[in-house]
Amino acid sequence: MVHDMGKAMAKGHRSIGHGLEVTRKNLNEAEENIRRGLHTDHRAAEDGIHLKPGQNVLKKEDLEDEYRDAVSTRIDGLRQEGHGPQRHLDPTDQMLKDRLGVPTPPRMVDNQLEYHRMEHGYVQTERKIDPAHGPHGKQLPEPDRYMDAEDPTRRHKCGAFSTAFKPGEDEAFMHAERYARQQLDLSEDPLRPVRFPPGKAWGPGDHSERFRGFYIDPERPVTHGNINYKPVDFQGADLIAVYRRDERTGDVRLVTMYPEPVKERNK
Amino acid sequence: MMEFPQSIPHFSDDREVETFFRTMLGLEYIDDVHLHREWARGKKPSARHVREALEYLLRERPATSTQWARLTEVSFWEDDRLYGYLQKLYDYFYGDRADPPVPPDPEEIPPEKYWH
Repeated sequence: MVHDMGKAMAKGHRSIGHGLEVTRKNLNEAEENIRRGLHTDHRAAEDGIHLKPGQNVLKKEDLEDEYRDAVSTRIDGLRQEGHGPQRHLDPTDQMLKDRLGVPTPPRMVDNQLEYHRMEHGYVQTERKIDPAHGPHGKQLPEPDRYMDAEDPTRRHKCGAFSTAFKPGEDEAFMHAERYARQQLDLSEDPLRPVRFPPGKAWGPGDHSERFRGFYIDPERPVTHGNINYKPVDFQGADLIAVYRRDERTGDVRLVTMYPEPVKERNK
Repeated sequence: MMEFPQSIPHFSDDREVETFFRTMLGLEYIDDVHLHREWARGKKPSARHVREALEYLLRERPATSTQWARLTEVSFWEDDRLYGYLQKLYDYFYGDRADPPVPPDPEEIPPEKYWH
């Protein structure tokens, strides 16, 4: 380019040399100015972006990929801390249903099946499978299958509702956990659980569509041998985050985090 | 009919108190209640509020075992058993009871009236 311009100027091209005295000095200065311009990215200097040789500015898609990776890394980290994602983000719907167990055997009275009820009115169940065992929990031998994944000396417990974040709500899980962690009073020992409406973490609005869950229909627990599951209505649900301190390092670890529905909305 | 009695001290004005009863004495964590003994004996305002709430519960018995079950998912099946448990918990936290009380097994066979 410089070479071409030099030629153009040498030939006294009107568009360049018009009004200028074409001298060797001018020619050298023009070439030097162009050379300097090639080595200085004025825009980058103004924006504070400093690219090294071979580096490119990230495109929107690249930034999104990086963010997704960061979310995924954080959720993986939380999997190492406790069972939050394993029990309340990762499971399939079937695993959530299996967590509820099966109704304890009914009895027949006057040709009607009668079920055990818990005192809150929901049906009593047994043989609950902890989703934290992973997708193959159902294939574990008995009684391991029904024990807690973190404490195999205990039978797995689950209340009337088996609840989780919807698939793909990793980012929502991450932000909710971050909010909960900020609420911790670190002077407490043991750390107190954090209970909060999801809007505190995600902003105003009804966030119930981010959750999923099931309970067994109290009116008709079983029809023709099949358990009748009802989807949980999460309006007004709170999130509960439970933390503990690592005994060795003192690090704060998320034990679990789950949405707790309002019973009155789920009868 | 089933709302948990709001007359219990600090139940409405200190979220920690509700969370203590609902979650720490709830189905999933009641077996770990021993972890909270030192905290309960401590001087934190919420710890004092929990003690005041427990004392009120034991004195007035304002909640039925059914209301309790709807709050905590733990079925005691009858009021005497619920308050018996809470008295033992109180003695464990603040008195000289050595071991935490044992909560009911959620898979135990319920009383006759809970078949239907």
